[in-house]
Parts: sequence; structure tokens; C-alpha cells
Amino acid sequence: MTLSPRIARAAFSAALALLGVAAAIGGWGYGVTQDNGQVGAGFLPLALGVLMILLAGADVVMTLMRREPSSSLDELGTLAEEVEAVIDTVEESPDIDALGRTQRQRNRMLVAVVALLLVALLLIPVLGLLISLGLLMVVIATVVERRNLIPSIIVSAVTIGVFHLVFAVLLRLPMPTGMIGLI
Amino acid sequence: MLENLLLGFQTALTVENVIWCFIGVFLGTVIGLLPGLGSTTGVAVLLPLTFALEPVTALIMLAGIYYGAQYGGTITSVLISTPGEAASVVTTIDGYQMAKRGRAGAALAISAIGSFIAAIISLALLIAVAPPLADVALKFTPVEMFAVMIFGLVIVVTFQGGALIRGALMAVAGLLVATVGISPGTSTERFTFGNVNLLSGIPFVEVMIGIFALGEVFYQIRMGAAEPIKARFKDMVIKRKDITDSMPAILRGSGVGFAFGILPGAGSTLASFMSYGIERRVSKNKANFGKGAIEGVAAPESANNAAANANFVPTLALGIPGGATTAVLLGAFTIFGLQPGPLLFETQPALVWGLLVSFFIGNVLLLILNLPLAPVFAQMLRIPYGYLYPIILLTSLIGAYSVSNNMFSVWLVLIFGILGYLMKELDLPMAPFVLGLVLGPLFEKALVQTSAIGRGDLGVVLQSPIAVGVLLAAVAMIVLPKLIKPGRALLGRMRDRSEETTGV
Repeated sequence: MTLSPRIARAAFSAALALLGVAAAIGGWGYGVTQDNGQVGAGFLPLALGVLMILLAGADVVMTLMRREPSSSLDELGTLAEEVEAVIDTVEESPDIDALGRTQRQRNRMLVAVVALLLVALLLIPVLGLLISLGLLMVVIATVVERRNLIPSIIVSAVTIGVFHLVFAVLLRLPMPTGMIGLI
Repeated sequence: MLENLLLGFQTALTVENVIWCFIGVFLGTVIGLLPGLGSTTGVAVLLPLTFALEPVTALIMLAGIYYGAQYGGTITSVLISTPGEAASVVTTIDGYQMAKRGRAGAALAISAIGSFIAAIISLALLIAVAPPLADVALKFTPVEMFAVMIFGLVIVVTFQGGALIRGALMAVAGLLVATVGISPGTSTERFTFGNVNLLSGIPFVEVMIGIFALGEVFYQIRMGAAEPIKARFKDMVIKRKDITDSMPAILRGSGVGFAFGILPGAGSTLASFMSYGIERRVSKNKANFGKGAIEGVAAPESANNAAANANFVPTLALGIPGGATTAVLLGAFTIFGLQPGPLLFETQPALVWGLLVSFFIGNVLLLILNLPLAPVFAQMLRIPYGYLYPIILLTSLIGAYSVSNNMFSVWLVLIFGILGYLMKELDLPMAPFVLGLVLGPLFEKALVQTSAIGRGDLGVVLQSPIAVGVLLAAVAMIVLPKLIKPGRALLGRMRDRSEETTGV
């Protein structure tokens, strides 16, 4: 199931509105003012939370009503409209990219990269930071990007070597070496 | 002034500082030209590498990355129509058209020359403007600083180029994230959920790395790769006529860039867009805009460099960052135990003037690097993105770890990376979020102090003429654009009517 951009935007803003509610409640709990009348620890979170609810709520309504929110740049005149039109043309994503991958394939790649990243971070207590991230590099290059194995291993090994040299040797930063305790 | 400049040259011209300046501008050029990496990402990711350096040397290198990236960002804009830097987006229009007509070299050369001239002009203006502004700011009490910060936030919200509400929403989100940790006024723990790592707040270097590095990589994966245009050495020749034709555009771009860059929160992206728009209206060659007009490259490239330097005026003189990258640099100052703001000119003259003079040295180095070597740099684009982005991911995660030697930072980077991707995908502006995050602690401190001065009454702000003036300017920033458009329409209708009645 894919969300339309309009619904996704509205959902994100609605989540921010909920965050605003939580911040306002939290702020109230921390105390809005101190005994001497000065602002308390909760003053700013409460004020920002309320502001966030109002802004996010307005954004949800405007997005769902399909009204394009007015742009401040637009309001500066036609000059800005021209340059905004330029942004639209520049940032338009083609369906097939230069490597012949479709939007659907690229979406899958993104999900795969984020998932692999998550797995790599979970493996750090076992393999250590550098080895875990080095493996991540090899897997992304070979599985996600479908590059050849040998060059991928060489690029990853060189990169990890450079990082080890700079951070662990030169900057003497204690890297998490994990249960295997290599580098 | 002369003494200070001499002190600056003494500081900046040491062998060590010149070498690190070179490394900074070189890395900046490379970072600027690689899609998915911008100056903010570059400074944030490489910040941990500078911890072993002297503060002045570290800041010289980090600043070099910043303005070096403005040069590098152009190369990808021209050659593959993919801006390496947000400030180079507008250069893609005419730059890429020039490249398609075999004039990539002329486009790159004029952008290097324009950037250099703009940098020198804006540096002179920066040196002239920042110290007097710092002198004025020294007289500011927390009440005035509170008003100035509101002004900065309003500027970034109104100028960020998207919807006003969404900009304001992001600024509020940034300020809210900054409230995590110990409250400055009462030492109360807020939103830490018992996690000791959150006691000192959400560290913004990690947030920046997440949003700008990981978020950008995720976004680029979804956007896909573009077809590069190969830059040959023989295409690199620029004619004298190109330079003379572009000179007015370069000078106008420098002026526009400095004017926008000096505003806290406005940044170099807006400056480049505005200067392109203005040039498109006033240029003699306006018919060629969009089809490969050299002025369409010269003006925005001059403007973004001028704005990059001008961004240091509010950063150094007021302690309020001009844009996202100067926000990270502001964080670097605090990591090195320095408090940016008006006092910096008095307490750390060697550092401030050394840094300013290093801009001059850095820009000379960049001109030397970019004029003959742009095609060499362009070869970097041959590195397949399939290898490049895993390296960016690694650099970001290891860099984040090295900030605090803590895996918590790495997880934060991933979380904010996903958030940054969503923000890009949903077209939510990042600059207001970043400025809110960086200004948050300073803003709350000023709020608490203002409350203390007014004994709980925040209305004390309205008793300061300076604060009232600044707040009125902030209100004008929001209200005036709304009045101008209907006003223009009304004027147009009145003119039409008067023409009808007079029979013209």
C-alpha cells in the first residue's frame, strides 16, 4: 500500500501535532512558573507544544483541503515564482534513472539499505564497529547495488583501513571491538 | 583595524594553518561536488577529525570546507545537472545548458572567477561590518538578544522558500528538540526518560550528521543516478569577452549575496536564487537565460560565495548562525570552549582575525585549484554512487561515534537520518529546524534571563527600544510580503484605470 504525498504530509503533521500535545503536557508537569513568578522549566516546552499543535493542525487542514499553502517566496512576487518553478524542474525525480532502475526498484533499494544499516548497528556488540560497518559496505555494494564482489571487498577493506588508521591509530579513539575483539 | 588584520595574517599564515586551510578547501571542493554531500554534511562529519587540532586551525579548516563546497557544488550543477550544494541549484539551469553546448569549461571558469571576486568583496565588507556590529551587540542585554533571536527565527521561516506554516512548524520542532535535557533556569530534567545520555540534551552534531548526511543519502538512493557529461580539458577555455560580459552580473551577485547572507537565518541558497532572478530581469542578455547564459552562472555563483562569507557576520558578531553550515560551525566553537558572539572579538582577537584572513588565503587557493583543475575534480564523478554512498554512511556513523565515544550517538544519527529523509521527501524545510535546534539553548537562556530581569514579567522586552525595534522588524518580515502583493495588484488596477480615463 502506498500513501499519496498529500496523505503522507498530513499524517506527518498530525504526528507532529501529537508530539506538541505530549510536549505541552510534559511542560505543564515540569512547572510553567517558579515560586518567584519567573519562567519555570516547563514554560518553553508548554509554549512550543501549544504552538506546534496550532501550526501542525493548520497544516493538516490546509493539506487535506488541497489548498497549496501560500509561500512566502511567492509573496515576494513573480521573481520568486520563477525560481520556485526552477526548483520544481531540477528536483523532479525521473522514473528510470541513468542506470536503468525504476522508481519501484529504487524504493526497494532504500528500504534494503535502511534495514541493512539497522542490522549492522545491531551487530556492532558482536563484530565491532569497523568490521560491522565494513561488512555493511560489502553487502550494500554487492547485493543492493549489484557491483562485483572483488572490487567491493577491496573498496570496503581500503575504506575500513583508512578509518582504522585515522580514528584508532592517529586519533587514538577507542573503537568498540565487539565480542570478537579484532579492530 | 590594521593591527587586527596584521594579527590575522600572523595567525593564518603559519605553515600549519595554511596546510589545514588547503586541506579544508580541497575537501570542501570534493564534498561540494559529490552529490549527496554538502557543506553542512561535510563540516558536521569532519568536525570530529579536528578535535586534535588547535581551535583556530580547526576552525580555519572547517570554514575552508564551507566556502570550498560553494566552489565544488558548481561542478556537478554544470556537468550532471545535479547540484552538490543547495546553493548551486539555480546554477544548473544555465550551467547545464552551457555544458550541453560544449561550454562546460567556460561555465566552471566563470563560476570560479565570480566566486573569487565575490569572496574578496564580501570579505572586505565582512571585516568592515562585523566588528562594529559586535561593538553594538556588546551593549545588548539578554532582553535585546532574546528579540534578536526571535528575529533570526522569523527570517529563516519567512525566507526558507516553502510555506510559512511549515517553516514555522519546523523551527518550533527544532526549539522543542533543544528543550530535551537539563533546563537552564531550574536544573530540572526534561524529556530524558531516565536516559543519562539525554541529560546534556540531544547533541546537535549527531542530529546534523543524521539529517544532512544519512537523510541525503537515503533521498539520493530514491532519486536515482543522473547521466554525467564528461568535461574535457579543451572545453575549459574561457574567452575574455565571457569575463567582461559577466562582470556586472558578478558585482550584482556579490552585492545581493552579501545583503542576504548577512541576515541571520537567510543563507546562501536564497541569495543565489534571488540574484539569478534579479539578473534575469536586468541583464542585457535576458533572452538567453535558461538557454545557457553565462550571466546565469556568474550571478548566483558570486551570490552564494558572498553570502557564505556574509553568514559569518551574525555568527561571529551576534553568536546567531546565518545558515545551517554556520550553525554547525557555531557548535564547533562551543565544542572548542569558545562562546561565539560579540565578546569573541575582544577575548579571542587572534582566532577571529586569523579565521577571517584565512578566508582570503582559502579563496586564493580555491581559485588556483579550480581554474585549471575543475576537470580533474570532475573525474571524481566517475566514482560509482554505489561505492560512494556506503562510504558516506560509514564516515557519518564513525564520525558520530567519535564525537562522544558512545554508541548512543550512532543510534541518534540513524534516527535523525530517517527523520531527515522524511523531511526531504515531504518537502519540509530543514534550515528552520536546524536554526531552532542550535538557537534553542541560547533562546531559553535569554528567555530565563529576561524573565529574571522583569521579575517574571516578560513585558520587560517592550521597555527596551532596541528590542521593540527588532521585534517590529520581525513582524514586518511576516506582514510586508503579504501587503506588497495586493498593493501591487491595486496599483496595477489604478494605473489601468487612469490610462483608460486619460485615453492613453
